[in-house]
Amino acid sequence: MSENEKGVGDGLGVVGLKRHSQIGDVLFRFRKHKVAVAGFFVVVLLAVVAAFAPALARYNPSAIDPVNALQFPSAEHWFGTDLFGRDTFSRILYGGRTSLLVALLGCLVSMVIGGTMGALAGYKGDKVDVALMRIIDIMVSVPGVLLAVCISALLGAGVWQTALAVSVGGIPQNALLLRSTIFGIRSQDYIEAAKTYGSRDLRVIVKHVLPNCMAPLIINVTLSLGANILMISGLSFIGLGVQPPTVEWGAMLNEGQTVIRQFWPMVVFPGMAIAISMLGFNLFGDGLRDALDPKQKH
Amino acid sequence: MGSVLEISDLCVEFHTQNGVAHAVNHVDLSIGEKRSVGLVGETGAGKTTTALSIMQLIDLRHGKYTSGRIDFRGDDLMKLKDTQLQKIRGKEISMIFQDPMTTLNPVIKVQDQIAESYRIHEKDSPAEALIRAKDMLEMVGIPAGRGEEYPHQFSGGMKQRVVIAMALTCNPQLLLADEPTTALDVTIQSQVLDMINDLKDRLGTSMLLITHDLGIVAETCDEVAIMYAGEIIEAGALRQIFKDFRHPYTDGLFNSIPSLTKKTHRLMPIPGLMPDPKQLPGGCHFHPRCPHAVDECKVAHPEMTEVEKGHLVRCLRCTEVLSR
Amino acid sequence: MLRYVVSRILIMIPTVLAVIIIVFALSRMMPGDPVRTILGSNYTEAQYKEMSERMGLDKPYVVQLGNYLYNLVVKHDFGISYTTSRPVLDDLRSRMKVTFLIGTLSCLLTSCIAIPLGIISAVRQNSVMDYGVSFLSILMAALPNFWVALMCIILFCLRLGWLPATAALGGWRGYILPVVCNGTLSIAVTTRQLRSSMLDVVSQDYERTARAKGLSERQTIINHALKNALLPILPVLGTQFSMIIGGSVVIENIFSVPGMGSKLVNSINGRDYNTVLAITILISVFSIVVLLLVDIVSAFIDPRVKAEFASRGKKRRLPRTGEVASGR
Repeated sequence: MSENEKGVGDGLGVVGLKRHSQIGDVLFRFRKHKVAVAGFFVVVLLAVVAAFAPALARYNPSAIDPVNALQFPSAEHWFGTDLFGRDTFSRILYGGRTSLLVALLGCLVSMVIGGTMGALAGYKGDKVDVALMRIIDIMVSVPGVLLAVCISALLGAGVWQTALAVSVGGIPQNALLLRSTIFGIRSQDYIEAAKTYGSRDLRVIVKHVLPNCMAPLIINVTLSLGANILMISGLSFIGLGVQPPTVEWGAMLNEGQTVIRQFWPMVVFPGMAIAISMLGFNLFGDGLRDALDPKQKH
Repeated sequence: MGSVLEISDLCVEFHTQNGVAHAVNHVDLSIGEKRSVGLVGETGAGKTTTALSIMQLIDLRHGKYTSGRIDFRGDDLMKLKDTQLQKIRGKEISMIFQDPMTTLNPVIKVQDQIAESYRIHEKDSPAEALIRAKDMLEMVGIPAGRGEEYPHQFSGGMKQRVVIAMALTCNPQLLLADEPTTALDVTIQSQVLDMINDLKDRLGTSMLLITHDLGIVAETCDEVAIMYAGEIIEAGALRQIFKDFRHPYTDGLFNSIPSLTKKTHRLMPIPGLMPDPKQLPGGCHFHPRCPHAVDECKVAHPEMTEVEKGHLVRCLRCTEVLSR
Repeated sequence: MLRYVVSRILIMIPTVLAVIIIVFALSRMMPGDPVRTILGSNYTEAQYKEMSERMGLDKPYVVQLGNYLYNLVVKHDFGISYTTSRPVLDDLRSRMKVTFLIGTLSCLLTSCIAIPLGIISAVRQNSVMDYGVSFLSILMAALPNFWVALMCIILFCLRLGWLPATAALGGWRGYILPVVCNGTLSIAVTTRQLRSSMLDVVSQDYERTARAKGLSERQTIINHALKNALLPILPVLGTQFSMIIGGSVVIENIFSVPGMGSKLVNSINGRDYNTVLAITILISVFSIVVLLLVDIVSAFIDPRVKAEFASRGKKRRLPRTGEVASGR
């Protein structure tokens, strides 16, 4: 019933007003999700931590202090210290920086590669479409973790390499999204009209397609940021991915695992950091999905 | 002649995000034995909600019965427990739903969906139930062999026949037919209607036929009730309504369909839209669209007035405007 | 129907080939020189040459690929491990069983937990139970399973001493934690999917029809809702199975499970590329087969799909994610 009403309201509203009220609608629906708002704040917190890690950390994350190695949490060292006496809390702050940066990079790469593939498939259609979709089929059929492990092994450790490795998993999703959006739009009259007026392909894509897949794209980005953080820490944990001296949560867990029998803080706190950021991105993403796309209940 | 079903003062509301929708307001309706009553109105008038209330199938997560009694053979359906209702549904009262495309379960064989009723209500063995289900299919004009198939293999008209067969399995005393032909092609419409009429006569079933098509009512019903904004605004015998309607809305309904007998200069649709059930206008709910509305109509909500024996109208000016 | 199965298997073959070729190409691009790995630090130029000839590494890339494919397809030979100098397949045979067994058990556990929970929380929507299940599944979806594994080690192995931290010790009890930890994410995902699938189904018109027939609430759910709700879950379970097998790479390392996952990481570190290649191919092919099986099984169960093939015998165009919405 509310849908009907909205339709009527939109029809009567002025075009300029409509856009405004749409954003208002989305905000309204989002705010009603208390957990999603909580997720949003976690994400913001994560971003702040990543941006201001040097200001927030009380110690240099790489400062070795063998005398104070393996200290349990105290007022001095909130989360304790690691094998070399480095402050775990400061390292987690810096680790957030790495995780977020690599996750963002990975997301960007998969959006660019996947988006281009999808756009090509959708726009050219026919043989290009079939060929690209076969590639996507192949990528989907190999477990994502395995693919990331192989590529990470191939490229070696490092921020860029890891970003590339985790990006592979997100490519099919982005490609399919863009492809279906373009297919949906291509048949519509105004695209034909734009073409008749002599708009170039790229212009048409940018002007008409992007606004139409913005909502799912934003949801995708949010959810895959969470997934990327998990993947990055997983890779680093098994000794691939980001490696010391770069501080990373998964790598910290890896170090902690060696002393798990005697010393729990090194295992507990980095894992909690991963879990909380995953939770933040998941809740935020779910809330966004409900707010942006109310029809697609999950 | 006793009545099978007697609804009095039924009110149903739905709680939505944007407020409370008053879908059915103080409806009184009775259906006599072996009689057919047509319930006519625009989409959103509350017809289906009325029927679902009789079945007690209003989704209570959003909906709520705020008042009323529904007497069926001495029991108030509103007060029965779920287990008692389950014995009535599908056996004593059954319903034909509006959209045959979505009414059948897509992953269950057609014959099994029909046989289910025999198994639960008449405790038939699976084999017996299946045989009777096939008979039922034949009765609605579908070869028994096709019972092995799944709903998606049937055309719309065939599906509706299956839905009708399902509703008639246990010879119900009361059949609620919710726009049984709306989703069908015109040619199939009349076939299905003929079939319903035929079966009804043979089985001696009473019927509540919900429709927005006055032509169907004329063919099928003995009595008519016109519904608007959750209220019954005019009710009476078929002849009374068709020949001597008094409510301006009924007038509008007749004016908006073409007639073969009368020389109509022009179809006259009713201006405006059905009011939002969340914000019903004060006074007579129809006054914003009514060509005969006077100031009083905006404030005073009319009660049902008996203008003739058995002919009730809910209009302040029922004796002045359309009386002839 | 048979034609459908055969055609699906036929389409699978090029996919498998493509996976092998891509993984092979990747493995040849990996850093480090396998010849040097085998020979160690003391070798002469002649020894090096002889070794690379023996390993076939002196030939052009395409010939290497051809040989590899030939050996693989005809002789089921994955080559020689660079670290153990034994045929790779011999090294992997028992590990394969372990990995697939753990994966299967995790997947079974996922189904056994997720299906009832998903159904109950949908049927009792907005009840305490529903909120509890939703809360748990959101939480579990956020916990990295390798961290859950570490926490379980601290709790069950070190503090309580109930279970061994190393899988090989303590017989079957050693496999409890790997199986459970491998499944956490899948349980969370499947529960949520089933809940939404079930919620979708119970609000369908045919559910109302079932109630109108006089079925009890329980009967409408068991007879009418379950099959409809479970059908879309089957592909989800297939994907989860493939994810679980992939995730075993991480979990097996933690519990020192003698499976392919732990071997993969060791081989990567030891630059034993033939083993890396073999494991990647085996796991990929396994997950491709699982997805294929899921497709075939759903085609058998879903009368809509089944009828399509009975009548036309043509290959189904698989709907892709997002495509359904665009109506193509």
